[in-house]
Amino acid sequence: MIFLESVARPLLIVHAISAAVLVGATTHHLLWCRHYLWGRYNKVKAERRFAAICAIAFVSTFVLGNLLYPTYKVRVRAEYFDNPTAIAAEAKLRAEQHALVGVAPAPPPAVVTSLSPIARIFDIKEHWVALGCAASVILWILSRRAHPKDEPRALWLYLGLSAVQCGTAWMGAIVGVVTASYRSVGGPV
Amino acid sequence: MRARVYYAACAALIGFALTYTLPIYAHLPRTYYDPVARRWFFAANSTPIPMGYVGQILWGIAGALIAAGVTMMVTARLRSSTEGPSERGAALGAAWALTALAIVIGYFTWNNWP
Repeated sequence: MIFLESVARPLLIVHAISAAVLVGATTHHLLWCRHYLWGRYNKVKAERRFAAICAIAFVSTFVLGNLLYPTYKVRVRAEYFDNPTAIAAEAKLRAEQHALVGVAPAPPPAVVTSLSPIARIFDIKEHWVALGCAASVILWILSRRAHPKDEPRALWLYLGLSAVQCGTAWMGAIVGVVTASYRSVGGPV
Repeated sequence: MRARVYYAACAALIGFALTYTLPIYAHLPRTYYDPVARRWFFAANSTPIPMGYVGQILWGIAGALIAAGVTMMVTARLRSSTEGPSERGAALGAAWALTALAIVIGYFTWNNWP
């Protein structure tokens, strides 16, 4: 048995909920920070609260993702994405089931020998979110100790980190959903 | 104090970005977890299944803490430590920190692109 495999599905659901909070909070944070460009600091208290929510959500999502990672690495990546035999068998089974259900089978897909490109995009996402998580924690520290309202020279770093935090959260969410779509709605193509 | 926190934040970001990349770039040993054998080990390289990601993150965290700690000690002696960072210092710190993140994101995107 792989580490936490028995609870992988509930973990994935909690991971997805946490990621949804993260995407919402980081987008909100970036949008609120745009007012600082014009020197308007009337929502600082709420923005600081969002910085804290973003950091907590980022760390939680990141930790949950890491807990799921052993299951992904073996059951998804090694046994499916990097396994041409499994992909060919899946394509054949799907075509048979299309015919059985009565839906006209889709034209045969281009030969898909490996889904390794998807796994590699997932690898890219991992690195983006690791850096985004670090940016999020540092941003939270700045929001408490060197906020642009008190320290205007910190503005560009603050805005840059908010953008990094938001961009990496979106990247993580989109790539996560794309990865999970294989073997479900997307099939092996 | 604000200057010290600001420079330490910049240093922590640069430290994290560089030391997160270092074990991959320089093939340095890091902690791996083998999910099939359910064991941890320390190595520079491994077969495809063992995960070196946790070890890489630990490198990054260590680098961030060391860089931030050293910066806090160094800036404690600066006159500006009781005030905010200078205009030039703040701009340089932000530029270096954000550029380090951009370079490392670019490095991993380039190396893993399908």
